[in-house]
Amino acid sequence: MQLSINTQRPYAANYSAPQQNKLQCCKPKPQSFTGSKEEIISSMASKSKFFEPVEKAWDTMTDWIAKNIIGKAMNSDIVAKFANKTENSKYITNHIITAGAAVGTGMYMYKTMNLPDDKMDKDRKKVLTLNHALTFAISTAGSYLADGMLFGKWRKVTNKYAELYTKDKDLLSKIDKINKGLKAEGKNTIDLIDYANDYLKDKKLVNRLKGMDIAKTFLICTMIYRYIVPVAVTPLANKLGDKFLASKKEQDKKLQNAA
Amino acid sequence: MKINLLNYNTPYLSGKTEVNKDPQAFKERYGAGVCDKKNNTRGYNVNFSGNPAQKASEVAAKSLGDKILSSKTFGNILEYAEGHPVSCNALFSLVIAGMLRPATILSLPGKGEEDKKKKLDAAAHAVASGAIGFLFATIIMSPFDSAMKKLKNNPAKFLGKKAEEYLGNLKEKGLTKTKKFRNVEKLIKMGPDILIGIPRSIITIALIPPILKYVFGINPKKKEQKAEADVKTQQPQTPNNNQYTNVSLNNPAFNAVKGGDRNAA
Repeated sequence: MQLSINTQRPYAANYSAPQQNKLQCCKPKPQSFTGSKEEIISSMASKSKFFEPVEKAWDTMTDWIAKNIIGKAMNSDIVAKFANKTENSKYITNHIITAGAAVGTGMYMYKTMNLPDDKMDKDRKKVLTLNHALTFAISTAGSYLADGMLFGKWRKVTNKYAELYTKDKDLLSKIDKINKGLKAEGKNTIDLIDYANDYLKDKKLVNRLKGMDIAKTFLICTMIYRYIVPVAVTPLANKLGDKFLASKKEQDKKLQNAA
Repeated sequence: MKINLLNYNTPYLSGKTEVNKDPQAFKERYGAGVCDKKNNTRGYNVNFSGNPAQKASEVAAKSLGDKILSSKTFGNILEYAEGHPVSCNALFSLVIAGMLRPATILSLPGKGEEDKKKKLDAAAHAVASGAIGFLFATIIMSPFDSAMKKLKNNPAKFLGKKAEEYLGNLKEKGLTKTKKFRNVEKLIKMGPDILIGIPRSIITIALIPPILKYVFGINPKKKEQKAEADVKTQQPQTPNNNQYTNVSLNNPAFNAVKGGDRNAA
């Protein structure tokens, strides 16, 4: 069997080979769009007028939010304190997720404790509230632990991603060289994001590298809070709670009988 | 198998190629006969550029991990995580809590049909709550993410002196690259999720029954009614239970046996 590999020529329009000498069987297909360059550019640049009012409303709304909500929040003392205190923190994403989980758990604990007595007896309420608190504590400790354990491995994955994205296997050695020079000058060293920002000037890569860290924390926290804990820890905690309540009831009965 | 390469991929400014110098000789030497009318191999014409041996070795060298890392989907997820963190977190929750968790629950061994039904209900509940969470987070947080992007592009327009005190010169180019700004950005992008967490859970709880009813065909109200009916039908089977004593004594039929209906009199 013979297999012929035919490469297409994207520059066919500019190619000026003599017509008679061309291989007739391998002619490139004619272009489906025959407009001029100006027409193509104008058609790509012009936007649909259908969504114009929606886009205007969106712009106005986001401007308002940027000025009146985010701007004011960033001009507040609380955010200033937060920025100064967390400047060197590696676990900002974890802290924010934990704060969110604490608010949610607190709400569930409050609601459970305030349930009317005819819906749930006092002992069960106490056990359930304690269950919420312990589950939250285990999940939070687990997420921080897992995040810390995967820190080095994930950094390797991030480095590999940057190498694949830039198609440059010497990327890390280049950063090392720059850092050696910076250290000799007594300046602060740079990381991968700084390199992508200052040397490569690739915003897409910067955003993706930032996204790597965020995605890692989300994956770990979601796996622990939403999968491991509900599937493995909560049923176990419920069983323990039921056993505790049953033994307590037995003890109460024994005490009553003795009296 | 003989593989011949018709290399047309030379830059057009580099002059005439071997094909143009003597096309017939080129055809005889390199042609695989794919253009002949009688040839049956016409359908195997492949568009391929570059050195095939090199390309094959590159493909073989790429492991599964490398393929995932260099895929477009992975890159898009990373950009989404950076640009829309709350929505991305909800998306992960939808995948993990709405798909992986129900799949695990359903795959666990159960006792009887009731247990199976309970598991199905729990799975439907998880999918519904994951989907609502994702939609709610995306709708609420999209304007905030877009507003933050605007602020990053022009901090001096939206921020005041207080922010300048801790962030530095607002007109400086590298302002958004500083660690302080990055941390504040994370707080602003993810912080609202803490505030909307409670209303989101309330709305999710409120929306789950209609979703279960109209999407999954599960009616929780009917179930409750059925459970109540089951309890009522079980009552005569436990005549010695003290908690039902008052109910049975007030029964008109019971009064009739005693010697007349109280209500009738």
